[in-house]
Amino acid sequence: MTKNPLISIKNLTVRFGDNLVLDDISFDVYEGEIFVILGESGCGKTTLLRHMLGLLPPENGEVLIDGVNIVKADEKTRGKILKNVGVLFQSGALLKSLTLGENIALPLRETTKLPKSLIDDVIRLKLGMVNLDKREHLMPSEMSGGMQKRGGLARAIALDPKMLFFDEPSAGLDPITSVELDDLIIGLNKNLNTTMIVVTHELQSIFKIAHRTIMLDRDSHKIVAEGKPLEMRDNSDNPRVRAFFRRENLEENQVLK
Amino acid sequence: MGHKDKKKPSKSYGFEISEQSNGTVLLSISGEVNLLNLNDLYVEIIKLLKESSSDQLIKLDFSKTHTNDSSIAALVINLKRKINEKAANIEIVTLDNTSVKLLEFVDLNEITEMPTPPHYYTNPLQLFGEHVIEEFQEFKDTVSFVGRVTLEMSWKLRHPHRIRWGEVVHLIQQTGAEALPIVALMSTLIGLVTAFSSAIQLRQFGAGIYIANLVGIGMTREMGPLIAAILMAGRTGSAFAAELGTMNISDEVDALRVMRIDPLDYLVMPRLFAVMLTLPLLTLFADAFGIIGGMIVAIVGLDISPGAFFSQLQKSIVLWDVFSGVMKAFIFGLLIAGVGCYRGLVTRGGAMGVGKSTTTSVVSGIFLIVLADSVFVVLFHYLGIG
Ligand SMILES: Nc1ncnc2c1ncn2[C@@H]1O[C@H](COP(=O)(O)OP(=O)(O)OP(=O)(O)O)[C@@H](O)[C@H]1O
Ligand SMILES: [Mg+2]
Repeated sequence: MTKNPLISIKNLTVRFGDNLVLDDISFDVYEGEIFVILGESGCGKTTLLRHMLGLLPPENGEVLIDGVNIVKADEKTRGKILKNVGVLFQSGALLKSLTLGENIALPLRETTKLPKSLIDDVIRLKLGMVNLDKREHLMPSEMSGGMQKRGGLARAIALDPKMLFFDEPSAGLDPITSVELDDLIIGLNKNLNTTMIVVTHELQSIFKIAHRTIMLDRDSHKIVAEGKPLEMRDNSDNPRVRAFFRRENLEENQVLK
Repeated sequence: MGHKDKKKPSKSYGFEISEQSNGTVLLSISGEVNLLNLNDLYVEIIKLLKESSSDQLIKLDFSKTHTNDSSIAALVINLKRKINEKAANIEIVTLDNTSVKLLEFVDLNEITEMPTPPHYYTNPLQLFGEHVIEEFQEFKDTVSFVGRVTLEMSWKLRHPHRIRWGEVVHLIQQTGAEALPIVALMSTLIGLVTAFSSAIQLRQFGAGIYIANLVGIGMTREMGPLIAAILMAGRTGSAFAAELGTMNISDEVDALRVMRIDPLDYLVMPRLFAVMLTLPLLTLFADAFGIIGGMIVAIVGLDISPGAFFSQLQKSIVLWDVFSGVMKAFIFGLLIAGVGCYRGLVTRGGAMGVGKSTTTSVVSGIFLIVLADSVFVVLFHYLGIG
């Protein structure tokens, strides 16, 4: 790990109308890290990812990627940053009008000058990585939810980007496929030194892949905990954080008055 | 378990009122309560509340009831709210087991509070004002989007190899070729109707032959472009809004953005080119069929031979009449595709948002067409070419 952060979020505040979602959030992600974002449903994890990618303008704050503020960057600078980025959206977000293969070919065709035969081979390689061999001719509407998710993952890693953003990659996958996905994430991180920002709720997955995590809180709209998952489970002084990692119900003992 | 007689649900539970020495009323409910007979119980409790004086305490005892659903739990929430609002002087003494368990899942204090609906303005004047401001802003945004798209298009025209021609051809087929039957039908009928309604007047003056002038000029300058454009707004503008709107709400547009593919480039440009190429051609098509409609009336109703009709037509319309219509169609095409794509790209809020975008794209598309048409009329007039 280097000393300078690759991604640096400074005082990010996000609001939709009157609905405050993130309140003055700051954190850093370092090169080569697997960084996991946790939090209850609806606490703003997807929203945070969108802002890290410059897809939405925040009310306040900065998102520095490679030292460039993506919030204020013009199209061209943003393009330069996004060249190093791959994203898996929560819904997979495959283009429904293209086949799976064409979806993966899209970033390859737009960015590289590879001939078709080589592009096809890259597609086969990536599809193999997510266990979708020989499925390139399927339309997204002919694929199951989990398959679409894996297809979106294959598209995200098509160009082997320096940074990968995953929004709940293993949601909707069976345990076996989830484990394979974890191995793929760890493998890409080790071999290509890919920095990964992952939103996930899978406890086993978190303990297995995360180098560092932050946890967002739905009520205070802030980061309630930051650190290594095992340490957070055992040593956190916040009962909510401990409950999350131990899969306990905070209100277990609450009785009707 | 109690019997389940749907016809007489109120019979399945008992209702026992006893007044205690200190003035407290004890209400003991027994038997089965469910969502079907809950209303009768509720009505009786409300009646009891109304009859009792405000300082009289009413105790409810559910210990002899049993239930298999959320009926009593819902009743408890309802009564609890009345207690909180000091609208009732009630105490729930004991509750049946099922309802106790069900209520353990929730925070009773939390759910008895009514959430305040957001942005609830009762002042109609304020609502109206906000609506006007919103509409105005939307109109401005639409126009500025069309402007941006036009700039981008002029860049594309200077770099034609960057246009995705394959997609354009596919879209021309969808928006042009497939629209031919309906355009032909509509313009023939409108040609017929226009000619027919003037034929009677013209015949009175023995000026029947001028039907050719009327239909010829009317169709080529105004009716042809308008028929084609309004059909295009209804068929294609709405389709663009729905398609791009659906892509937008399922993150596909954002996915394009992070792959550094500009949606303007990838999605909007091919649609714009397709419509701007197609609509002028459709307009010529509409012109022709409108004139045919007029000719049918001339032949059948006015005994004018096709030859006479055509030679009169030739004398009456000049190339500019046809050309000005085609030129208008070109601009209408820009507006229709621009509005459709813009509505799609700003779609928010799920399936309902897509529906709303589709409707708005047609309404504002047609509005902009008519607005532009009026501008053309005034412009041509002052340039002395109308
Ligand atoms: N485009 C939007 N407009 C208005 N409100 C939004 C929008 N997107 C998200 N929100 C609100 O922001 C909050 C956070 O949403 P977000 O999708 O980021 O949650 P999340 O943490 O990803 O949840 P989940 O784990 O269920 O995916 C929610 O309260 C949601 O209502
Ligand atoms: Mg989410």
